[in-house]
Amino acid sequence: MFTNPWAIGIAVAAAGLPVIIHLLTRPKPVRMRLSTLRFVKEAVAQRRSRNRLRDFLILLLRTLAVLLLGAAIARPLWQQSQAQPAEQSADVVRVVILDTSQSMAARVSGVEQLERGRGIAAGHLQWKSGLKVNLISAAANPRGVFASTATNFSAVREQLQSAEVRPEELDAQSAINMAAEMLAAESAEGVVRELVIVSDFQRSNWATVDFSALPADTKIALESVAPEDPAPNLGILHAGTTGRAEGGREVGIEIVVGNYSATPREVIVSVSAGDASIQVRGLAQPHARTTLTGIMPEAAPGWQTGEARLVGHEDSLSADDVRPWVMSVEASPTFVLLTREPEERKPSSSFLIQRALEALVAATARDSVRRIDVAKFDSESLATGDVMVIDHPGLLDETIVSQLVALSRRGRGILYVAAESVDATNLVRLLQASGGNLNLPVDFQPLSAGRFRRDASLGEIRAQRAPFPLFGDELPVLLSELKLAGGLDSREVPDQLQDDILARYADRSAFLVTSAGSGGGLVVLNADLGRSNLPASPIFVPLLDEIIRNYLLSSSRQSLEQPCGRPFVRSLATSVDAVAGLTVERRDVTSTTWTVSEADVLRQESSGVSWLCDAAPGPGLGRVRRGELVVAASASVIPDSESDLRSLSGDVFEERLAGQRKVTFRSTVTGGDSDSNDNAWSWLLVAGVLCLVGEVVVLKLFGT
Amino acid sequence: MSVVASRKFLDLAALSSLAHMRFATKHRIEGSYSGRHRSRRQGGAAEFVDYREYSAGEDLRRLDWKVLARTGRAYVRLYQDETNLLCTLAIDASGSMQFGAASNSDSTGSKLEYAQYLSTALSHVISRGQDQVGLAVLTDSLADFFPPGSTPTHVAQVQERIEGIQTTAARTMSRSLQQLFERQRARGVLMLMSDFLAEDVEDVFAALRLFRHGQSEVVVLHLIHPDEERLPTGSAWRFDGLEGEGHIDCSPAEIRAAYETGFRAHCELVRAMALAAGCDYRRVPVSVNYLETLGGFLVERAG
Repeated sequence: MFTNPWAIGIAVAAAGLPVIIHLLTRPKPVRMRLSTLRFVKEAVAQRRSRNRLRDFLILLLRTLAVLLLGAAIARPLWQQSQAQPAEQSADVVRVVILDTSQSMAARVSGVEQLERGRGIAAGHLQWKSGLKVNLISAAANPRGVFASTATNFSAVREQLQSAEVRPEELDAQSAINMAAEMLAAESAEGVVRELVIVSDFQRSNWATVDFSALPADTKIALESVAPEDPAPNLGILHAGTTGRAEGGREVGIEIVVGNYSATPREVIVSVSAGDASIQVRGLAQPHARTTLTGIMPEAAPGWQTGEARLVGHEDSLSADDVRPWVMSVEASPTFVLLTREPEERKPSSSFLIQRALEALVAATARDSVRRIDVAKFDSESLATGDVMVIDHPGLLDETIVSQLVALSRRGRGILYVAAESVDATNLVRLLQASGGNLNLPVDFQPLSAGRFRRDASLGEIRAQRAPFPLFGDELPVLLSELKLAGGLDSREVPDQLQDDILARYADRSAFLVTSAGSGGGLVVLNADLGRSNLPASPIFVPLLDEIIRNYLLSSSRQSLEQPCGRPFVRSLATSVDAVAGLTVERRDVTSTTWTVSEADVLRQESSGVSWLCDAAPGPGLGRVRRGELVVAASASVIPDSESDLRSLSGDVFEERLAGQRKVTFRSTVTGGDSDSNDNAWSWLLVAGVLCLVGEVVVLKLFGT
Repeated sequence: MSVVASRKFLDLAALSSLAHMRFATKHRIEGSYSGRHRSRRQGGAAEFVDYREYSAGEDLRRLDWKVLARTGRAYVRLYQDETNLLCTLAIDASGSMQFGAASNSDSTGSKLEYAQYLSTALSHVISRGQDQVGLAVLTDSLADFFPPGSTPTHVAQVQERIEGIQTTAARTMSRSLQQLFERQRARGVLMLMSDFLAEDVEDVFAALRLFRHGQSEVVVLHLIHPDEERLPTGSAWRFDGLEGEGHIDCSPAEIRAAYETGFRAHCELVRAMALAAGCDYRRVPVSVNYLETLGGFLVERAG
C-alpha cells in the first residue's frame, strides 16, 4: 500500500517520457554517398556490441531511477498484512470496522494512522470467491457502506478510499453492535464469520467494550495502527470562564491543557474572544491535566466567540492544539432584597446586606439593588431581580412563596439568610412549594428552647468549594475571627448530597448550604448578620460575591461546549420566546466566514425556543442571531478523550475483553522499528540517486 | 607531326609546363621501335638505325652535332639497342571511383575525373616521348581495351575513350586484370589507377604479379579522396554505398576512430601488397592537382 499512490502513475509515465522524447526528437539522418560501406560496417559492428551494452545499462539505470524516485514519493507502507485466507471450501462474511475518530489523525513517523489503517483494511477487502464484505466507518455514529455484507467490492473500496478522520469520539460499542447485526443476518450453513477492527485502540474508547453481541463463532481480528509507545501529545481539553462573565468587569478564564507525554512541558496558550486576546502560560505536568488561568479584559454584555490555541507547538495530533470557545457576558445582576426590617434601622441585618450588595455592582448601577418591604409586596418588583435575597422577612405568605418558587424555576437564584425561628417555616414552605425542584441537604429547625447561638465559630469547612478557595491560605485565620450569632438548628437529610453543606458550625449544625436541583439555585446562610461580626469582616463582601456568582447566577447556565458528532440540544434564554426572525449560523475553526446552517433546527416549545442538531459539526462555532443581535452561541469541540493517545495492549483484549471469543491482536507498527518500517521511502530515494550516479559512471566507462 | 584533337581532359596549356619532361622507366623494356629507353635485348655493336628529332631534356651526348652543324636542326641518333615504351593505362571504373562527384550524372570532383585528367595527361606525355600508349578500363571484367600505339590518331582515340569512361557497380577487379594480361602481347609498363576498394584486393595483386612475372613494370597509383579518410561531423548520417551495398545509418562520432583506423590500415595493406608484388606504389591524394602529381611522378621516375 502506498501513502501517495498517485506518485506511482506519475513515475510510470515519467519512465516512458525519455523514450517518447527520444523518438520525437531523433535527428533526421543526413544522406551521404560513400565510396564503400565496408569500413563503416566494420566500425559499426565493432562498436555495436559495446554500444548495445552501454545503451542498455543507461536505459536500465535511468528507468530504475525514475521508478525508484516515484516509489519514494509514493511512500510505501510495509508490513501490511493480509487477512488470514478464507477456507477455500467455505463462504466467508467479513465486516471491517475502520476507526475514523479524531485520534486516528495522529501521525507516527510522518504517516497518519488512518492512512496506515486504510492500507490494512484494503488488504481485508480484496475480492475472493465466496467472500462477502462490508465496511463500517466508526466514530461518534458508525456508518456502514451497505445495510448488510455484499459482494460489491468496488463500492466498498471506493468508500474506504474516501474515508476521512472525523473530529469525534469513537463509539466502539455501537460499531460492534452494528457489525454483530450484519454478521448475525448471514444464516447460511457453514458460513465463516469474521470481524476485523482496524483502530488505534485508545484506552478511553475501548476499555469497556463488550464483544458479546457478536455471534459466538465470529473470528475477531484486531489490527492496531498505534505504536507500542504512544506518541506524545499536548492538547487543549477545555476553554471557558472561571465563573460568571459580567459586562464591565474583567473575566476570569481557565484553559485545561492535557500533557500526554513523559516530560513536563512549558505551554503558552493564546486565547481570543471577540476583539480581545491574551496569552496564558504555565507548566503542564506529564500525564496530567493542568488548568491555566488568565484574565480577559472587560467586555460589553453579549455573546463572545473565539478560540484557544497552543503557541509554538507541534506534535503528532495537531487538531487538538486549537479549541473554539464561547462565553456569554451577562449584564450586571440585579438584586432584590425582601425584608420586613425598616430601611431606616441601622445597622440592621438587611441594611448590612444591602450595603454589601451595592458594593458588588458598579457605582452607577446602585439601583440594581432594590429593597422590597414584605408588607408592601410587589410581585412585579420581585420579578426584576436576578437574585432574590431574603432576610428577616417574617412569615411569608403563600403568595410570596409561590412567586419565589416560580421565579426560581425560571432561573432566579435565592439567597436566604436564616436568622430567626420563622425562617425555618419559610424554608419548609419554599421546599414544599418547589415540588422537589429545590432540595437542601439539611432540615432547618428553630433552636431548641433555651438555646441561643452567640459568638459561635465555624467548624468544618469545604475549603475546595466556592466561596472559600478565593481566600487561599488565609482562610483559616479569617474564619477564626468570626463570631456568629442567631440562625437555626439543622439536621441532615438522608440520601441528600452532604457535599452541599459548605460550612458547619462547631456544633455541626449547617452554616452555609446550597441546594441541588434545576432552575435557579438556593443558598441558605444560617446566621443573624445583625448580631454577628461577619458583615464587619473583610471577607463578607467577597464571600457574598462568590456565593452569588457560583451558585445563584451560574446555576442556570448550560454547557457552552458540544462534542462533535453528538446530538445537540440547547434551550435558549427566556428572553428569546419565538422562533420567528432567528437564524442559525456556523463557522469552522479554520474559517472566518459564517454560513447559514442547514443541519440545525430551532423549535418552539412550551418553555421557550430550543436549538437542536442531530450531530454537532465541527470543530467550530455556532450562533443564533436575530438581526444583528446574537442571542445564543456554542462551541463544537473535539472530545477531550481523543487527545490521550494511549492504547490498550493486545493481552487486555485477549485475556479480559474478549470473553469466550477467540481474538487475535496484531500491532502493525512494531515499537522501536516502526521508524525503519516507514523509512523505506528514504532507501528508495537513495537507490534512485545511486542509479543516476551509476548512469554517469557507465558513460565515463564507455568513454562517452 | 602529331595532330592533337580538342579533349575535355586535355589541357595543353597546363601541360606545357611539363613539356620538357619525359616518362622514363626504371627497367629494360621491349619495344618495337627505337626509342629513348634501353632495350631489354642486349645489343653487341650499336648499329645505327635512324634519326629522331631531339627533345628538350634529352641527353646531349646523343645529339648528332654534325647534323646540327649542317642543318641547324637537332636530331639524335638511334641505335638498335634503344627501343620505345609500351605503356598501358589501366583505369578502375568501379562505382567507388565515382566518390566525390557532384551528382550521379556529373563526375566533376570524383576520383574517376581525376584519373581521367591524369591518364589523359600521361598519354600526352608518353606520346610526346615517342612511346606507345594504350588503355584498359577495368570493371568486373575488361570493359574496354585499346592496345598501345603511338600515332597521333591512336593517342587521340585513347584520350577519347578515356573521356567516355562510365563507372559501374562493380566490386571486383582481378578478372579484368587477368583478361588484360592475356591480351597484352608485349612487355611494357602497366599504370594502374585505382582506389583499390574492390573486394578482391588480394586477387588484384595476384593478377599484377602476373604482369611482373611477365617482366612488365607495374606502377600502382592509389587514388584517395580526402573525404574518404575521415567521416563527416554530425550526429546522424545515412551513408549510401556507391557499389550497390545499400545504406547504413549511424552516428559518425561513435565510429570515427574505428573507421579511420580501418581505412588507414587498408591503405597500408595496399601499399604493402603493391611493394611485395614488385610494383611501384604511389599514393595519390585527389586533393592535389593532377599536374603537380604528374610532375612529381615524372621527376621521380627520371631519377
